[in-house]
Amino acid sequence: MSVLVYAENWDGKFKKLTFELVSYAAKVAEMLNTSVTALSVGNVENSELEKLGKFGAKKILNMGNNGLTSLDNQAYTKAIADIAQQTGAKIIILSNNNTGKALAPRLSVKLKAGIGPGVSKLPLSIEPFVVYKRAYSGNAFAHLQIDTDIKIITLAQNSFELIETSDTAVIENVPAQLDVDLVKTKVKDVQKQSGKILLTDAEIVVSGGRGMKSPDNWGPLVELADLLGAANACSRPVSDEGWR
Amino acid sequence: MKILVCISNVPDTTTRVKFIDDNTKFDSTGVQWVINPWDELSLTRALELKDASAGAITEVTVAHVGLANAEPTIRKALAIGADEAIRVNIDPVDAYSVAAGIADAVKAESFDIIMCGIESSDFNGSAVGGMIAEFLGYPSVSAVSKLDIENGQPLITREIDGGKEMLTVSMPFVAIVQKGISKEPRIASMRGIMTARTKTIKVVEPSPVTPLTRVIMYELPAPRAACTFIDPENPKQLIELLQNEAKVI
Repeated sequence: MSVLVYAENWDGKFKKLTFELVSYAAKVAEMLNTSVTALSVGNVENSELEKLGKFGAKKILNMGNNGLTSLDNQAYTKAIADIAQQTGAKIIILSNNNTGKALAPRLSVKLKAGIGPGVSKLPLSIEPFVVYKRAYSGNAFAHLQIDTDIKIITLAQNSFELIETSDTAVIENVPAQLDVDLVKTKVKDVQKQSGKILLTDAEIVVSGGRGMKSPDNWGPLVELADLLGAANACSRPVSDEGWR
Repeated sequence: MKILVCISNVPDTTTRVKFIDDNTKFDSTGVQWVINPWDELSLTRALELKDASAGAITEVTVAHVGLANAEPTIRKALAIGADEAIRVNIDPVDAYSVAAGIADAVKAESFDIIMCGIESSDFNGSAVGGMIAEFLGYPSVSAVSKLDIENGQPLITREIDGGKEMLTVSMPFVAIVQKGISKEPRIASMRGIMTARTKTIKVVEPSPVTPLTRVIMYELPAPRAACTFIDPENPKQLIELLQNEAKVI
């Protein structure tokens, strides 16, 4: 029973969420008495890949991307599913970010593997396999039992601490397995935010709610975030009102 | 061109969530049921596209997986403007059973676009749309915040970490939509409500599937910590608390 973690990169670099994910996978592997294999797709330097080892990955599969630089759900699902089968993975872990939400459900059907989506803690038990997730939009939590042989977990962002180890990982180059014939999407243009700290990467968050009374009063929160090197956030009603 | 919009029947977002039977079951006593907010926005966008298509989009159908007690919610979708409705007659246990039910019911119908909300406000699983796509072998695009049809081709904006991508996709496909897809949910007109009463909801019995997961227990979150108010005349106290209590500066 091995653990496979999909280590997403952004322009060849990993982010805090990738390391959180690997730290989490290492703890799950420890509970199952097994080890973590990380899969990276795309052009990532060895010095960057080695960082995954520091957070507990024992083996890193470094797969080329056949020139496919944007996410195509069908092609990526097939590549991850093939690797899961080749490595005999019983637990597959992805982030619950947009990529994980796009791929995990397809993987679930392809591998007939139950998903624990948006999990925020280590599994509550292994036999039966029970995970802990948000439900009713944060008004409750569910203990979800996954009954299938292969299990998929998507980890809620910022819900697990980074755990550095003194271990190193073995990097193995694997041939690109993205099937270009499956690709049905074509990215025409990309717009990236620049200069701002992303909420998902932030160590400190300055958030405001309806108590701020008006979008005109947001200035001090933005200024405070700038001073602290923090990201700005807001509550759902503020977002729904279009204030932010 | 035909669009299918998948709708979930969820407790009104202001519901005080409670559980019964040793916290294994949601207490639906006195609960008002509504169309899942993301699905309602998705339906609104499908109708906007139909209205702007000069007849190219001939039909917007809604599909729901659930028992007959969800019919008022399905009828609301018809009142808002959906042309037809399908109800897949099972009480689903997990996202896999919902997706399998919808895929089974629509595989012979050749919808060009299948739209699903990014998540339901009750289970928050973000899984049904992607699963339907995989069952049908269709491409899927997730985190869609904008969907247009230009010269008969879909033009999509997808949210990615730290930005957005503009892309095209071949049809048929599944669009998993989120905030931004339409501004406000469309409200049913009086005429729409009257017409919806006479429309038929097609009930489909799907092939049985074994669920992959099940909720064995729910728990309520810990009560919120008290909020500390600071006098605007006393910024020193704020600095003190940020430094020593929150430890952020």
